[in-house]
Amino acid sequence: MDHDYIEQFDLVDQYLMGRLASEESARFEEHFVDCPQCLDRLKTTGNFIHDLKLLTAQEAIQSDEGVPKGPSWSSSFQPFRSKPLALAASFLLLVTIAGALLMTSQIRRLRSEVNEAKSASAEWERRYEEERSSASLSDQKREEAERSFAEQLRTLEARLAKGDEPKTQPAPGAGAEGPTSVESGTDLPIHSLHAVRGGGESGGGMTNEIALPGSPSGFGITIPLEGDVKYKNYRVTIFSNNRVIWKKNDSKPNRYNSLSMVFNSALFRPGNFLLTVEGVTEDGGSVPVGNYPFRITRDTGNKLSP
Amino acid sequence: MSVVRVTNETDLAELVRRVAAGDSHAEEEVVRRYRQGISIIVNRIVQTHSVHEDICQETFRIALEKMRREEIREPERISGFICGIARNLAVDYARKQRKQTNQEEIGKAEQIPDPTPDPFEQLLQKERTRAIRQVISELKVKRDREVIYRYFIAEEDKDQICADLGLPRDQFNRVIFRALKRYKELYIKMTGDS
Repeated sequence: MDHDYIEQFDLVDQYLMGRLASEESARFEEHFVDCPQCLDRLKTTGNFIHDLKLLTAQEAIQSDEGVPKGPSWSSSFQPFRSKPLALAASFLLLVTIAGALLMTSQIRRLRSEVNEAKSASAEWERRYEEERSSASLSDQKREEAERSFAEQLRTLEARLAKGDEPKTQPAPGAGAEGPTSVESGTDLPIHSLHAVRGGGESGGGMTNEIALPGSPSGFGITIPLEGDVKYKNYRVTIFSNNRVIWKKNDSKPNRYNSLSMVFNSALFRPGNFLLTVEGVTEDGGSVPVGNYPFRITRDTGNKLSP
Repeated sequence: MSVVRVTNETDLAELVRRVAAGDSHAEEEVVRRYRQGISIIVNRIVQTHSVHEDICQETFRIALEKMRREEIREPERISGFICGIARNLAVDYARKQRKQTNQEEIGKAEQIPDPTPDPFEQLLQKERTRAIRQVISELKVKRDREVIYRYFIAEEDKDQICADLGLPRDQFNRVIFRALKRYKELYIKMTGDS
């Protein structure tokens, strides 16, 4: 161990402050015990530290006892010079820490609640979006089907207007008035209904018959209105066992004064139904136009009996 | 009869051999040579004045006994041997004290100063306090006083103090050196001890 090393690492100060590891401390002791230069420095520094601490302690005691002995040399470097100040500072520190802990706890709880609410809201939003997109898809499909059926109807009506009558198949027992069930060039069967006066669902013996295939498919119903066009809109309602199963408030008559509708056969089970037509007045009221009872059968081909 | 001074390891071995041969001057040289160092070592562990003196004396008694009986294995390393005896005695005493008072840790034991310093010591201490006060008052720059306070009283790390005060290390060393130098001057003037 040489003096350069001792100077570089402040071994004298470190030793006196008890900061050296025991091994290095022993090595330094073995050196300085026989080194007048180091002994001198150790002695001077040791006494200096001792006296400095003693002076500081004396001044602190005098300050605590309130003895006015002039300003303490170390007072401006000490965080708290007197006991009451230290106690007050400790109390303030404790209050601050307790407050901080309480606030942290509250903030954590609130954060947790906000997160839960956010997650619930996100879940609802997700469900809403799913249902909205599902409904939108459903609407799209329905509109497409309606457009398709309307197109088929228009085609058929155009052909009828040109005198190109589609093939008809009279139902067994059908009168000579002509066919009431038509089949267009497309796959969509169209059935024409005739009004029956005072007819209920049973039709009082006079009813229209619609035979539907066993598997679900689309079919059209056309209702020739009697006389001139009286109303812009008609309300069409279908009853089954006196219960409304379908309704449309804004059916518009075509240029042949007929109302046309397209249904999915799955809507109807075999049995008796009553279709009523009412004219919708300007003031929103309704005027009965006619009753059209019909019977649904399965697997008997397209036929209609007046 | 004159006290023999030795300067290197060979001489140290010769000193040990002479003690073993019964040379009383050599024994005096051993005590004179190591007294101050042993006092510092013991004082770092035990600060009670009377106990401190006892431990120093016991250290030399044991060391000289070993030398006389030629029980020193490495005579050229007699310095380390004596330091070891002093340290062990002081630590042993501190350990016993700690057991009794159950308060201090090894190396810091027995911090309680002697309760009854004699009048001479009291006077000396007063003079020393005056000297240190003067040293401090001569430090006109507040930053220099802060350096002294934080380094020696608060025992903060030197690098940390330098960083906090924006002080280069050599300037820090100069502040400490000047304070110690001035203190030493006043101390020598006061005690006449060089």
